[in-house]
Amino acid sequence: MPDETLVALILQGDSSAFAPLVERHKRGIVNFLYGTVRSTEDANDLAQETFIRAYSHLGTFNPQLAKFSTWLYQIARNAARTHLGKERRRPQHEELYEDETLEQRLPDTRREASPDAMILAAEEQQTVRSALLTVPEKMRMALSLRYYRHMEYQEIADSMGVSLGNVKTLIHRGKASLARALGRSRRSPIGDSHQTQEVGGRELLCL
Amino acid sequence: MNCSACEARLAAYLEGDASPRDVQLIEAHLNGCPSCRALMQDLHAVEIRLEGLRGIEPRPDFTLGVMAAVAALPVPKPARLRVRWLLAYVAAGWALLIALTAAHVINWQHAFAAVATEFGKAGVAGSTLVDVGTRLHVPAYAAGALGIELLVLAAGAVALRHYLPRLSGWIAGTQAI
Repeated sequence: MPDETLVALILQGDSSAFAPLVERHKRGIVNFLYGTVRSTEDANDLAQETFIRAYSHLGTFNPQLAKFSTWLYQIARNAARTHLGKERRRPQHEELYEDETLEQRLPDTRREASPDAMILAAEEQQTVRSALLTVPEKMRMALSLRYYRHMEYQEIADSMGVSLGNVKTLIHRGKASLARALGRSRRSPIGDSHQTQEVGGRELLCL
Repeated sequence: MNCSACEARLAAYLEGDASPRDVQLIEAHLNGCPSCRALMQDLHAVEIRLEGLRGIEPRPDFTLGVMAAVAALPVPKPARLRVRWLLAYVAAGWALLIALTAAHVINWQHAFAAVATEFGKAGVAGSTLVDVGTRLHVPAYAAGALGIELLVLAAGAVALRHYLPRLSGWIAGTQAI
């Protein structure tokens, strides 16, 4: 059943029709938020808050103006912005994400050979995630949906409410921005890169 | 092609999304530019590192948690702009004004006279005020302006009826304009 039909059912009084909507979009929303916030707990909390906000404002959703998924991701984006605003006002002093230990970030043991390799893999995830946080918001959003959720470009376009061409541009530019951030993190501790929002960019050595 | 143009197109080039003409230009530029060649290697490495990122699964009781919170909320109702109601309010206001005038509850002559007296107290003769007003066709303009105001209000309400739910959503933080 399409999203919009389920929304219509809810607006007619059947609130149980919201459960399939949550089931359908929760993975995308959680992973999208995971690209922006500092821990899996925060991503889950914010994602739940997103769905609750969506439900209480469902009457303002207009299917003639946007797809339900576009509207939902917009709510998630606003929730992430509010969350980041609060985070910025709080002093940051920890390198590891607040409620995560290295063990929790360890990958699947069946695939990884040794504890050393596991720690290296966890550190690698951490490095890329931290660099991703320095990428501008829309590019980060597209990259998160692509690489955390493995969405097709067209799905990303639908979720973000932009054209397919726009998604490609966001992903291409996001990768360039990430390449610069990762290049910089090799030269300096990654903790610095989180505070440096503007990516200075590679110096142009030739014209 | 210069470096900034090349940088902007490199990711598309690596994904095979660049146009044939761009491919030629980029390859020609890469041959003579060590900096962009290094960026291309960085981008290639980024692609591999991004592919290695692992997403997360929502917590097991995710949907249950949402549905429990939602059960405590009122069932949402479609928000519609009451255009017809808005017009009805305006029409009712005018009807009341006309009725009160017809019933002599509001006496406009007295009201204008009272205003003129106030101006008189301020040093402007009432007759002068009426003269100036009549010569400038103030009553006609005022009536015309009220009519136009009504039309603009009605047209605005009709034109914005699609956007007002979106606007209220934006105010509530659920919608981007």
